[in-house]
Amino acid sequence: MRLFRSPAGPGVIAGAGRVLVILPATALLLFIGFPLVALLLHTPPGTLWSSLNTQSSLDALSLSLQTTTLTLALTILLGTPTAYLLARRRFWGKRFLDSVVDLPIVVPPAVAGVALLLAFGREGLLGPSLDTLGIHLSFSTAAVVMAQLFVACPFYVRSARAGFIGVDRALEDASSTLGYGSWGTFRRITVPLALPSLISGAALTWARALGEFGATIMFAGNLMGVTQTMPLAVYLNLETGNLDGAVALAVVLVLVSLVVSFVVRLISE
Amino acid sequence: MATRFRYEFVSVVALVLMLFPLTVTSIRAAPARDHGSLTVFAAASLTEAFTTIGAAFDKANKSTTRFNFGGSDTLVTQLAQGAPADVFASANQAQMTIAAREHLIASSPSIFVQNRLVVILPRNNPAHIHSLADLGRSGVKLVLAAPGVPVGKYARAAFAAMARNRAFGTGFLARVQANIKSEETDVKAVAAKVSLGEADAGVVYLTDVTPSVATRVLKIEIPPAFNQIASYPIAVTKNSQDPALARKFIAYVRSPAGKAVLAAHGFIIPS
Repeated sequence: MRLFRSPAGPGVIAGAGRVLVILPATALLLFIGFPLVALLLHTPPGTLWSSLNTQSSLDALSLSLQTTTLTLALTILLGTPTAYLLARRRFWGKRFLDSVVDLPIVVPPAVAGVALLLAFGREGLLGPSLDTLGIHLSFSTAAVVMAQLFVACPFYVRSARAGFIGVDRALEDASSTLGYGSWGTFRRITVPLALPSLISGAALTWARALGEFGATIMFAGNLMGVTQTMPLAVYLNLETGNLDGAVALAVVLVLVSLVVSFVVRLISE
Repeated sequence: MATRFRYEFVSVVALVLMLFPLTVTSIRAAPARDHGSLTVFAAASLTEAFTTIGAAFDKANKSTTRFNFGGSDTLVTQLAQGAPADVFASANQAQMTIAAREHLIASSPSIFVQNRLVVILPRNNPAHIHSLADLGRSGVKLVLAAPGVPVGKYARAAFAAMARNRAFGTGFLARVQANIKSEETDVKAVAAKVSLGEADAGVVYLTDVTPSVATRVLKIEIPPAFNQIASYPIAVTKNSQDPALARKFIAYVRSPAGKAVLAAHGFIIPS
């Protein structure tokens, strides 16, 4: 009975309705949980550890850590003003910009990879100009960060935008009346009040960047220690028959993602 | 009573849903049973030739042949994980040997075709490469398939053979190694990176320079002294649903009609 207690009081979902809720819920949870359990059970912990403790795994771990940290920093730096703009200002074409920002979430990563190549690749639109400046993005770690930023930043911008919209304008006005400038108000009122949204958005962006595969392998290629992030190493290990190596990195990815999404839940509640 | 019934119902439905993937598999295998359906796992380099052969084979046998093209190593991994296949065609003997060792194939594999390597460059040749020795020059962006992929292994063997020749200078292998900017997952990805102009050079099979790729790349031949001949074995898989049809497909590949298609795509037909 406790299971079905809702804020509106007990027994809101009852009778046939209860079956309609519990059946699909059980099915979906099993469907999501079962493959994860299979992944965790496949390799004994000892093998898991020795597979992780190889040069290629450690390189992939460290590269993933570095690139996702950079991606997150860039997202917060560039995404916060973008979100604020989209939340507070009204201007012509804003609705269109909202959709553009959301686009990378719905576009398949392989498409993102091709788009990045056609824009920043050597033969891309900006390629010749970048070449003149001596910037060579192909097969570089910078390309990995760009791929991650492209697919992952919308999660932060979306969440931050919603957070800023939810901040009571009256409080901001009061703060201005009390003599805080717009930066002071933003820093002391707006950001603290929107903080749960900012943090959960940042966590989602980081997790998405960590899992990025398609755009990375297309735009940045695959080289150990330079562009081979964890998801790429999982795939390559699988390809070369090193199932244990693949599973070891996959388990790390799953556990980290689980922790991140749990923390996000704690913060946003 | 009612509650208990409900919970039992829940578990039954949950169980059914867990078995759902199995149901899907059996449904998928069911249609066209009377004429026969075939799943062929084949090396990525066979994509064009086998697609043509498959269409002709299906027309002659009223069968339905589906292909799964990929790096031979990927295919072996998929087979080992129980992926349903009737025929396996590998781009090298090593992967077929692994498949045999893991008891994944039923018949003894036979070599049906051979392939050789070629260096490709983007049409505008951004790194000004005019000879194989230029591939060891500092700053050349070279893309190979990963060492676990047959073509990646052959390419490294070819560079090792060149390095044994004085004409390539000292430390050629190390210089080439330092130029590798990406290790791609299969030969088609290497061809794509070069076609798109991202890489200065790549090593692929001659058969991967398809008409559409040929319009975007230049070729540098690798002399027989250094070139690696890839031998492609083909075999019926252990858990084939229709071994008779699988054998028929292999026979068709080896028939004059099949050989003609393979030769037209640049493969070497072993005598």
